[in-house]
Amino acid sequence: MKEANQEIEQELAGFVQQAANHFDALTPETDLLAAGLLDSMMLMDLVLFIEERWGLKLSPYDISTQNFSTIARLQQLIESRLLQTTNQS
Amino acid sequence: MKWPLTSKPTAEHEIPLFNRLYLHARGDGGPDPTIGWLTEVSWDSISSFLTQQNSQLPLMVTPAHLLIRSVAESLRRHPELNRRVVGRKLRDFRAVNVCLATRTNSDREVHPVLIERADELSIADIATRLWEKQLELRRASAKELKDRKRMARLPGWVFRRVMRTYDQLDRWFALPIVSRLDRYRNSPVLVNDFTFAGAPLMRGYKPSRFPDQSKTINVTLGPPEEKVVWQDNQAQPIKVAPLSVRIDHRICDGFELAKFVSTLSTVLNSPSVLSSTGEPPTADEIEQQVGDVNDRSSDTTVPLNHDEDLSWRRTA
Repeated sequence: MKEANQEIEQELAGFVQQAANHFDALTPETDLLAAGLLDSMMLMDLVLFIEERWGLKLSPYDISTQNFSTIARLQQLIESRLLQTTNQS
Repeated sequence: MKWPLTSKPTAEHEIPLFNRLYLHARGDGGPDPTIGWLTEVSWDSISSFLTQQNSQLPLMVTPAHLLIRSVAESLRRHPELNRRVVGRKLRDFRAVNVCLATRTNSDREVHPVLIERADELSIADIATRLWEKQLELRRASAKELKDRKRMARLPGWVFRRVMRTYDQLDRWFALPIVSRLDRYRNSPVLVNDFTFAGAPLMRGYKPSRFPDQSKTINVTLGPPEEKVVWQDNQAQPIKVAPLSVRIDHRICDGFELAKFVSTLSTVLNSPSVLSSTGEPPTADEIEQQVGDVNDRSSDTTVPLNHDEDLSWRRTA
């Protein structure tokens, strides 16, 4: 489980770093919004990346500062959604 | 099918002389009926309001959402600007609708998003609609993308013919809205949010006007910048954001533009007038709160010299 979470974090970090032109100081706790790494276009790219990579469908209510503030928070969102999907099926 | 404009135009005798001069002037190549105003608003106020809202609301609200709501509120308070030119006449819009220019990274297109009756919506409602639309556009599931694809297939000469015919009809007749793409005409204002990280300082901005003339007003919020002001007997750093408003002189004059910009600045400098605690404010609450702000400084409905607003603008 821990490995799976780390993998999600790594993939998210890779995507953000690539989109943010290899932002050096990125950690799971970096505030993406405060660091100016997420504008609305980048946010949409990130949502689409999450949807395509993990087969999820996010709603506007998933786009909150709580969920998108850090990579660690995003990883928690994905993890909880994947768990929901598993339980439903 | 929707009819965005009222059936009767503004009577000629009600239009001020100088607006009529532009209204009846030669068309293309004639005088330029554009007035612009560049001012500054407090980014600190906007930023702290958004932080507070984002800690309470279930979804993210951004400067774009606040800007749409503030423009709608200002238009509601200045209905004389919620109109457009059709032929040589002025016609009122039936509702306060606001258009925001958006983009996606998947194409190079500008996608205007129309928020209808934006003056009756909370910021959370506006955010919900915009995120939904932006998700649709990014997922390529928005229906208007099919319309664009169809248009992209038209050869240049057909496209030119179609657009010129449409332009002429729209210029001279109060047309109904019949398709997904032309519903953007159902608003007198286009809003741009250029507050994204990395945007250069904005010292001036001259937006173009759509050929169809529906966009009487353009409002652009530029990126925040630091400034030192003299406040409480000491120099203090504050953050401000440039606010540019362009308007059509056939609709109003510089004084009326100043009043509109003043209302818009007041709302952006005190955004809490738009919302209390999470619950969307009713139109009456907004009226009361904006009224309270105005009452403190002036007995006119719209203050032109607002002590609260000006205090942070005194430069060192």
